[in-house]
Amino acid sequence: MNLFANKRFRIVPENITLIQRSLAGNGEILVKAGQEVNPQEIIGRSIVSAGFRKINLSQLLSVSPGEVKKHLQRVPGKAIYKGELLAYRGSGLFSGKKIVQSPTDGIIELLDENTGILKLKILPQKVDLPAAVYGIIERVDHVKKEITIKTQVTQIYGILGSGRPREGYLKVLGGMGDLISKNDISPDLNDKIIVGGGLIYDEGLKEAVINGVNGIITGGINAPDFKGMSGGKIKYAHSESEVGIGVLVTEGFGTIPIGNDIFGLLKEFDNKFVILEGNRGRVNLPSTREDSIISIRKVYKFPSNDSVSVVTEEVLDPGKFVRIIGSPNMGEQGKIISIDKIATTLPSGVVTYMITISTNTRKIRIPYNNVEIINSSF
Amino acid sequence: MPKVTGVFDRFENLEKIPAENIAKWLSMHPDSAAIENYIANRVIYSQTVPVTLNDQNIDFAILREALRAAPIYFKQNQKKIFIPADFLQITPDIKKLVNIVIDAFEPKGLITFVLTARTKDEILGSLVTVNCKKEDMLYFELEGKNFKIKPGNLTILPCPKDHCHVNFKSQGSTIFGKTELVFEIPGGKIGLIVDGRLS
Repeated sequence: MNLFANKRFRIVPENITLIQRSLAGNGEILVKAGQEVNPQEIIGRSIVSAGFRKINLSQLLSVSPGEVKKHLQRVPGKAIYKGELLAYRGSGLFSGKKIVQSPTDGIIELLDENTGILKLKILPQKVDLPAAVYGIIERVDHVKKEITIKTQVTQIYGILGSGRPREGYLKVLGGMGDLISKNDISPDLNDKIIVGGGLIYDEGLKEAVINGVNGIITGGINAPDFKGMSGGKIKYAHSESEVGIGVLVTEGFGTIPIGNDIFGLLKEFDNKFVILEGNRGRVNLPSTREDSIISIRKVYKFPSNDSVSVVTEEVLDPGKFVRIIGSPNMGEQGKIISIDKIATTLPSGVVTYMITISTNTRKIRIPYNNVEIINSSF
Repeated sequence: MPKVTGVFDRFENLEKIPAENIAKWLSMHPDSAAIENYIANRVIYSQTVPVTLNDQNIDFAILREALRAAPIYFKQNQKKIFIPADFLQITPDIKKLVNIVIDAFEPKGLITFVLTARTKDEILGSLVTVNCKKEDMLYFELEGKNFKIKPGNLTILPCPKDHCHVNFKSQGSTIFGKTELVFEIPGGKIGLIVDGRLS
């Protein structure tokens, strides 16, 4: 008797694919099609002039919103440059001194004394665009200011995602099951792709947007928060949603730790450059190996780049790796060590076959219906 | 590519069911975020089966609301309710499933239940609604057996044959406006469900 389960491709290692890099504003592209590039090479240069930045000084100084003004070191209306002292609070009875530096060049536009949030108007800046990957320039679009690069990436597919492509350095905040709240999001996470844990709270998401975080990878998310980002959709969420931040959900809804397979790989890429494609439900981890260019040179055709996580059915066999997709123990991963030959009646009355899986820490018996085969081990 | 699917793959807009609509069917009320998360996980992992009675009750509530929102399985013109066999994934108890579809569709009159499978459809039985007066008793004779029913409930009378003759009598309660009626129903595993609930 064969028992079938869906197989999900969560990790596609060393895939040759096309990525796009875009100039942040008006500027010039410095490379041509066919040119080989390395991660540090500047492929475009632009001037970024628009935008504001909100800085929650009340939180950063650990004072009430009304007290922020007396700690501000610059007068509203004046220019301030990146790294200069913006606000300072001396040490108190129960806390150390707090120093807040300007995260960017700008003009102090406004301090809201009701919220303690300072609005900084960003000054025009010259921004260099590095290739960030080893690769070959495939196309250059001078109108859209886009550069397409053929490169080698390891792709992690989540269950759901939201947001246009965003890039940044990966920052793993803590453990795979940590709950990420507003307090875990600091201004130094600006421009980063952060790896949360088991859940990111609504306030954490909002704080991440305020602090200019580019993207979040989380095991779980609350359904109302995700629906708020995806226009109410879940089943067909991989569309064109955009709420100012990229999000990748690797496991499902509620508090679910990021799977061992994905979390282990993300830890290897901590502080490395990655590209999060929320609407495609995946994150690209560019190869850091210089010799990847040899493989890149050999590939001329690409499979469809638009597919989200591929799911197809497969027979369950001992030795295969699975993840649990129903309660209890949702999100846990293990290796099948046995499959019952006699059906079991569950407390719900459902009659089904049980399988036993071995996780890193224990053995679990679970209905075969409540697992998915995964293509990765841990 | 072939894919293992489940009951809830049959419904397009499961995620739009309000959490409070689910909560009203549950004796223990989880918070609305927990219900929304549960529904959302059923959307993405529809093939899973409920392990505990608690989870099963939430599945039943979702199924009721999903059927109510998209009543494609209730063919009013044919007086039939179709129950896809894969609904049995969440409970093997066909009587529970029939109760769920009755809750969802609130059918009136004489209705036939049909279990639909890929190979063959199966008649499960019928439902008849009685316009009850509170103080009346309802008298049924089914295939030579007599039944006395107190109004206020759904009552199942056995009728395992393909067709059963039914004799109904009451002082003031009526079926199709009549206090006495002889009629024939398709029978099956369920038999005849008498809906004697007071409106």
